Amino acid sequence: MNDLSQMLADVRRGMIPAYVYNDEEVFKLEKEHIFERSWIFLAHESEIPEPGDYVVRRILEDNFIVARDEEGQVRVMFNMCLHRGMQICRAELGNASHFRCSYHGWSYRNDGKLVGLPFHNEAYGGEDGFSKSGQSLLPAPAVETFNGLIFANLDPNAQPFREFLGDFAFYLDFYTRQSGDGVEVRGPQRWRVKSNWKIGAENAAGDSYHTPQTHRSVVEIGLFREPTGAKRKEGALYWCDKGGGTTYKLPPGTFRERLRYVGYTDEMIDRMESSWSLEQKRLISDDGFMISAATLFPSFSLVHNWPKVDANADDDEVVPFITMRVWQPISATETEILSWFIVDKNATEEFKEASYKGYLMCFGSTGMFEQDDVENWVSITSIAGGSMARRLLLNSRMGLTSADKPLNTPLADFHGPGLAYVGYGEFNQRALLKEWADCIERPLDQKEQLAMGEKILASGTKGREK
Amino acid sequence: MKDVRLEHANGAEEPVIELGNEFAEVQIRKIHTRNGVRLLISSPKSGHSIALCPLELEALTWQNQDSLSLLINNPYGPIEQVQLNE
Repeated sequence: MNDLSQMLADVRRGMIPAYVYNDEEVFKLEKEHIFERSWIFLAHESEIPEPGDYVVRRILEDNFIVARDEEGQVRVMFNMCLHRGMQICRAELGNASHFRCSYHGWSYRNDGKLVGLPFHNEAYGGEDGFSKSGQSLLPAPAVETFNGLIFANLDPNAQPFREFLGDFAFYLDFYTRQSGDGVEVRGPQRWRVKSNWKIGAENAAGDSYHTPQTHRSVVEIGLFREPTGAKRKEGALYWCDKGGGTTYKLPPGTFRERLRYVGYTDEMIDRMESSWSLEQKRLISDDGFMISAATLFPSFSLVHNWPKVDANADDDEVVPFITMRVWQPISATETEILSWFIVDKNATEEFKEASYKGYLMCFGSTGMFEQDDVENWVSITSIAGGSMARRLLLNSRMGLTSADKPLNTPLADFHGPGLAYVGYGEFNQRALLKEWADCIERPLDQKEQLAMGEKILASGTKGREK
Repeated sequence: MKDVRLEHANGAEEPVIELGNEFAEVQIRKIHTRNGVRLLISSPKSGHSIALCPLELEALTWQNQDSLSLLINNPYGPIEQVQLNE
């Protein structure tokens, strides 16, 4: 890393030191300053619908069991046995009333409560030597859900999620609340790419400019009619609180006609009509914009597209799909992508199947968009590691004049919250990296140690050798 | 813990249900004694098995999570007496 304050200053004026995409010191800062105290998406509630259902997810190296306990409550527990630190759940998903450690056989209820120590009497003298009452797997420091999306934060003093999310919630509803009953998900697919995590997050946040070039082949083979240069620049880019995204401009029409244009069926549109607010509906009916890709800082992205799924169908027969993903950093140069398919829970089976097919054709490890994108991102990451990259500031100032004035005025009558511009611009990438810079600059709090049995020790009764 | 009934019981023609997750794996089968039936639950890994009568099975239905946690507490044998006294 070159000088930190210079790096942050450069990023804030939209000149990005190329090495930030491949630098060990930068990555160390990101781990401590961003990922250990930001809201990170773990799972959707529909992945653990029944008591005992669980999935195993990570934030950096921290491994968590995300479970629905016997009472139906969602629990996020650090997946480490309190005894010798063994990982307790090693399958990625399952159903269990109790988890049993494979090392010494300690067992825990699915709400995390420690219930069993083999030879408790002989080894510890029972409760006298080791009081297991009140002991639990460590809960994640902060957990909140929104529209069934489960987020966790490793910082116990984190800003509450809803406050953090702010008015970006307005946009999240388009993806995750198309009906009162919400959505269900398939997946995630999980795979690793040799790319820095920020590149994908920035790309989804606001890069409508790459679509006509990078994804040209997708248009050429007739899979997706929209991402031509002319069409993409008509869309609006918006940034609101901690997230932002891209949209497509729709042809003239009513709310219903425009949703039909992207392939929604009338019964689905009926449900959207009753579950979205007037302002949300006016974004479509009055402003004529349809949400597409988006990112919520730091590493949660969404995509909404409407490809032509059936090659023999007419050109206007498209099927929309929604996907969400986490850019989970492995190192400065590698990212694990977790990619889910999302669909309105009340959609017909026929729609769900067609939409899932559209998703698989475009995104996920098999998707064409995915292949196109990752090829670029791997190259950027690789070349950002050399000495020349340390001398280069990448220009991320699209949409601004040299005097920092936007080329186009923000939309005055846009019905969504935040600030929106029509046309190409790197407003959102800059906003995302400004959050990144602010987060890196904010000093770290002292970390509290969570000793096993701390509560008991604090009351000074039992549990530790004198 | 082999159940003596196993040697005499007749149930070879009954279907076996296998249930497993990452923590345990069991095989379940209905078995017939001369005058009645039991449910045989066996764990291929530990070699333990138990044949439960209908009343014992019904008793499971009125347990709660805490009493089942007690059963799980010690994976090497029955509930320790001290726990029963708690």
